[in-house]
Amino acid sequence: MSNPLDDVWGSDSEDDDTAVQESADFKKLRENHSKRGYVDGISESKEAKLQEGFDTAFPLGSQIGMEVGRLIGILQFLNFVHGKHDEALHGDFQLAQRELRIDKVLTKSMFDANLNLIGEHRVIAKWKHIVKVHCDKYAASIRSTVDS
Amino acid sequence: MTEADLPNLDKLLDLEEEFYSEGFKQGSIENVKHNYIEGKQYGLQVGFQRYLLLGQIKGLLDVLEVLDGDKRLFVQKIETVRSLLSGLKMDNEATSVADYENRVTRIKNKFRTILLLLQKQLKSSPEDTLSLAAVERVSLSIAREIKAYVEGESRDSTESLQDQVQNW
Repeated sequence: MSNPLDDVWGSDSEDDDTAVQESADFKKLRENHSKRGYVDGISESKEAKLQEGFDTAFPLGSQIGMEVGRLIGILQFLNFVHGKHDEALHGDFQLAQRELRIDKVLTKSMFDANLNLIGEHRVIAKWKHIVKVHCDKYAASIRSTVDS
Repeated sequence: MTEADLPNLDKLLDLEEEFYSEGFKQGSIENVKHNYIEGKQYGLQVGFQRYLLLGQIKGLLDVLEVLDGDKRLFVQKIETVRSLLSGLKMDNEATSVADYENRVTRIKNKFRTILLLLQKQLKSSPEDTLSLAAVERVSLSIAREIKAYVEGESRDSTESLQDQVQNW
């Protein structure tokens, strides 16, 4: 049975339905066009900032590479001269080549979300210590330079 | 469509434009951020790879200098290598990169001579000596620049640099 007052006040539910329908259309419209814009935004910005990121991080990568290389070089020469008679030295030279490999050094856990180094690099610090122990034995005068 | 509908159509088109712009801006921001981080990954890796061998040569010279034996033959050459190493600029500016290429060639040549002199001094046989090739082999394996399969090594050593890039 219809309510006589409906004629006076009109139907709330009809308005609601229209509002819901409009809201759904609005949402769909936003979704479709926003998505199209998003894809174009990605495609338009292609390689923007790639070079800037590269140039920013390159000096840090160079510095880390230089540091790792130096540790390896010290161990390699000590191993060349004493490795045949010093098993621990020979073993450390072999192990250093695995533990200081690029993918073990440049790994997420050593960097923050923006790829900045978090404090001292743990793996490098560990190997500095080991290299110093071998320097103490065979090349004491360069021990103090291992950290520089 | 009547003339009365036209303002509504304009409004609709404005809305479409607004939503498109919103999406475009978001897509650009996210992609730029992603690119920047990806660029940093490459920068770290390439920097590491370019300077690893040079650090290694520095370490080898550090030990060579303090070990027993007559150094007179090496002193001048070691000094030259050290001065070439110390002048390197660790950035990616075009001039620095060109200077790097030039210096690396000279450093390697000089260092090769030092190792040959050392071999003579130690009177060691070629198979029992430290050659530049042996030094470079170590450097290349640490920097993962060897793509060929080496028997006895773990399978992942055959991954290319690109594979490794994606491991970040």
